[in-house]
Amino acid sequence: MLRNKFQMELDALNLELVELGVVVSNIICDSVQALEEHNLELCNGVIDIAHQTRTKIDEIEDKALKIMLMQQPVACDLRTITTALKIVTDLDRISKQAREICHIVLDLGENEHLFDIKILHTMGTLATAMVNDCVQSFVKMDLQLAEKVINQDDSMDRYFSSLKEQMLEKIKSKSENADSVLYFMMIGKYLEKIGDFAESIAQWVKYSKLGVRRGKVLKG
Amino acid sequence: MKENIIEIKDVQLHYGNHHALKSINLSVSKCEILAFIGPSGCGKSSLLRCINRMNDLIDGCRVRGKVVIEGFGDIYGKGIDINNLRKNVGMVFQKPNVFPMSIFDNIAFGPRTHGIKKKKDLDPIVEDSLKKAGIWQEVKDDLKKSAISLSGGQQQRICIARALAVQPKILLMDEPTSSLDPISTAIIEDLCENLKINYTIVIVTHNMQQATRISDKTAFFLNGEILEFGETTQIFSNPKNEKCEKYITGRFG
Repeated sequence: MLRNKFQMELDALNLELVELGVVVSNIICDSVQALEEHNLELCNGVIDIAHQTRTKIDEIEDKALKIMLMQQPVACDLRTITTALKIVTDLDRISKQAREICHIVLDLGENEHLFDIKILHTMGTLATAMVNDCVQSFVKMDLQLAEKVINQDDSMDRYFSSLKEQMLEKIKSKSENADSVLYFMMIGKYLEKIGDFAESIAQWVKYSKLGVRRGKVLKG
Repeated sequence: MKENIIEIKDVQLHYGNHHALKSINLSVSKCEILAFIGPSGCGKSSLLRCINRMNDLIDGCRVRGKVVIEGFGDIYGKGIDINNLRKNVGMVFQKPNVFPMSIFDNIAFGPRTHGIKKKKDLDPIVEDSLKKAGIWQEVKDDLKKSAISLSGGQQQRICIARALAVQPKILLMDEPTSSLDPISTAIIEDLCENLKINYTIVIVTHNMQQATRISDKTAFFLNGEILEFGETTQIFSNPKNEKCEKYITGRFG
């Protein structure tokens, strides 16, 4: 086959992206667990790994840009590189949300019990599953799994709306102090954003495979 | 939707026993740029030459089917005035082929052949053609200079101006920039973009980036057949034909 070097570069890029996806998937899982258990050690671990992923993200971006410059890809190759660049950005953002959640856990007082708010627990579990699934959909180019993630984002949005309503009630009834309500809302928003980025990754997986982006094909 | 200016219907072409084009069907809309791509020997230039009957000049070449051009009907039908056809369907070749005469005479050659002899009539045609070809500013003070003394890129634009001087509707370009440097290539690509306001351009190119940059539609040829035809953005972002995808991504050919 012609362009062996190019194919090897694409395969290597893909592998690095998969590895990054697994790391990010793990830190989401850890950040939600740290939140549930108020595990400060786990929080510090997540913050460290999130910091390290930034270096990896830069490396992947550099490689993708270099391939674009040197190989001027078109068709499936262009879709692969574009998808890699978009996914790496989404993984970076997901990793930042995990880090922010852990910063909040570190700021919390000993007596705060965030997961008394049942809906946050549900959102945390869903966010973990969505990130795992979107990474797997990319690894396996599994369109069914990508579609599942896309649909789950609607559930995540609904949970966040419910959380807002509950928090509003708490403010009105003064059953919770203001600091806690603020933290609950921030964590809810981070989890909701993780859902958005997972959905975005799933959309790019569909684009890479089908050449269709949010139901549209590229036109001249 | 744009009107079609060229309709190619079931065209078959043989060079002796070699079946070079197999049942080609294709429509070209007015004022658009169509690129022919594909590996060497797949029939791109053969089809291009069918559009102004340049294949008539090749021994042993036989063409069947119809090439319908607006204002002519089937150009392989009876009673076609070949000179008038080639006046309307101009051609630019891979290597600039300026005549060994002055710049002015190169451009005036076509109009003179068609009966325009007086200098006062030829002057505005020469100026207008050189302007359309984007070379007027460079040569306006040297119209008596030999065209052969110009650079390759300038000579190719003289050839384009010469084709434009007889007011064609269609321009056929057979790898017009393959022997030019990147600057001259960019100038001619920009020129194509300007020309398509008034002209229909069919271009053969081996440069995929060039096809992507300048053409509205692309036809992919292989072994005398068109395997994929569509909008250039679609072909280069999401081709439907597997062989087309492998060719444009450099995996065969």
